[in-house]
Amino acid sequence: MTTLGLILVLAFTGGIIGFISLFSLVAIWTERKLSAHMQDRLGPMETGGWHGWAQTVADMLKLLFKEDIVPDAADKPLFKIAPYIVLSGSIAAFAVLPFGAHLIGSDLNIGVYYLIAVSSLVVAGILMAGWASSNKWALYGAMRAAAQMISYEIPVGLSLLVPILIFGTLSMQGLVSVQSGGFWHWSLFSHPPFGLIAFVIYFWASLAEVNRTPFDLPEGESEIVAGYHVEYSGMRWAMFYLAEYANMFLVSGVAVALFLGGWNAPFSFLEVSHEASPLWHNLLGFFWFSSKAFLLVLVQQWLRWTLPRFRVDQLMKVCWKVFLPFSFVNILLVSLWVALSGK
Amino acid sequence: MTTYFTEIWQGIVSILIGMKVTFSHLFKPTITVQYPHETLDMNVRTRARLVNYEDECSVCQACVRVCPVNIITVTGIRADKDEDLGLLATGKPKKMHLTEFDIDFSKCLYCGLCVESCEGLSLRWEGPQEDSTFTRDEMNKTFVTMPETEKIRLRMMDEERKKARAAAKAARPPRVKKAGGDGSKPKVKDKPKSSEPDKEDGATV
Repeated sequence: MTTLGLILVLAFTGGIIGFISLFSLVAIWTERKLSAHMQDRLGPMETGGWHGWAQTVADMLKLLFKEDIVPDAADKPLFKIAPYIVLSGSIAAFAVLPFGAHLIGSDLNIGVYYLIAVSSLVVAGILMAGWASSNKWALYGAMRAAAQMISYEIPVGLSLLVPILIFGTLSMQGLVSVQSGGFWHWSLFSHPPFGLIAFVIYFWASLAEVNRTPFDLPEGESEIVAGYHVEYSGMRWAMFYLAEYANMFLVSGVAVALFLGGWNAPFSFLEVSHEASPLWHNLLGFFWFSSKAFLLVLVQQWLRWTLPRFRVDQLMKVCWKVFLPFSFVNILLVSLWVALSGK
Repeated sequence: MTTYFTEIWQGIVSILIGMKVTFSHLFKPTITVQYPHETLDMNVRTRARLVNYEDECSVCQACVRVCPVNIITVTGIRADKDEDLGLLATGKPKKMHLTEFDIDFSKCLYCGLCVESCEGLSLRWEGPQEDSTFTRDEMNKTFVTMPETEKIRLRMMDEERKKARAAAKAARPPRVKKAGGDGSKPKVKDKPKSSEPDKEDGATV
């Protein structure tokens, strides 16, 4: 690798980490405000003046200065490395997220495949954290997280197959560019109702993938305290938190790229063509991609403050008895459509 | 098979209904207030903190006597005859200067017996809700604003009055005892008379 290439890679990684941190600060604040107003409260109002906008910044500073506690009984090397593995799993997956026509870490020809593979690293990190804490609650939480995330990867993968079948490519940029020219070209609407069904299955299964309500079983305050990160404090704990929010954006970004047209505007007159101005083409693409993804993150938060959590058996039932058969039938019908339309 | 599909359909519909409910609450006015900046109006019967209004206090000691934990200290000095201290809530004129009214809230039961027994209705449940203090001594609240010099002046006045009365008593010729009477009866009659506040003895109660 050339020096320039190395610098570019480092710059991109730094940019992604900065974006994740900034997004988490904003998303945690919106989550707290949304939850408060949905419960007729006000939420943070003091820090920073206007509606407590600096609350998460203050929280982050507090976490930076907190003592890093490693329990005596813990498996120390594993305990220390687990948060990095969880976070790097999500950051690695950001490499194939198409923020704009040229704003992509690496446009792999097996982009979706790489994404599903590398985001499974999170499960390993969580199991590692739970095991290394040598705490029964942490271990239970990690086991629950692993069981849930591994079983929900199947409906996630199967529903992602639908746009791949329709457009015939695994490359992220390839998938996004064929959805250009207005929202009726997005795979959500182009093959009704299969795109919609696949999107709904993907969205729900991705909630379980990132351990969000109604699938937040790995954290059960009344049963297993905080689950797999019960022994963590300070910045190591913050990394788990950061990874959770990074994963929320990641799954939303994947949904946007595969189902909602990625960085394409909903109407073509809202776009600047690449020939006219490459810079504005990319910036507008970034705007559309991140606003769509942020909208989906807001929907995730909306769902979190609407629904109670599932029981473990209900969780498994929904996965194996509802999502899986629907995904299979969906894939079958889409394959028929694609085969008969002769693409 | 039918139940399978109806359950899925019902699940989707109920999720959408739930989302509608939370969305509608998003724009409802909040029911909480920003506490230190604004407080809720408390009920008139809230038992938070006692307040004694010294101008309306008759210094009757009813609250001191009724308090089950003995935390109220009240002292007063009788006013001169020509002094006008205003009227009490009962309609009678106020006769005593209130020189000390302390309640040690660290031991208070908040039973409210003192408020119920209060003759002049000067002791009320009206104080602020925030009771926390930095030291235990600060929990002992005083409800007298009279300056210390004024208290000293009143005490000196009272001493002089006492001296004058004692002198008058010494100068007075001794009362002639009724012969052949029961020895114990006049004694009993005499005693309450001497300690009755109506007489101008101005005792520090």
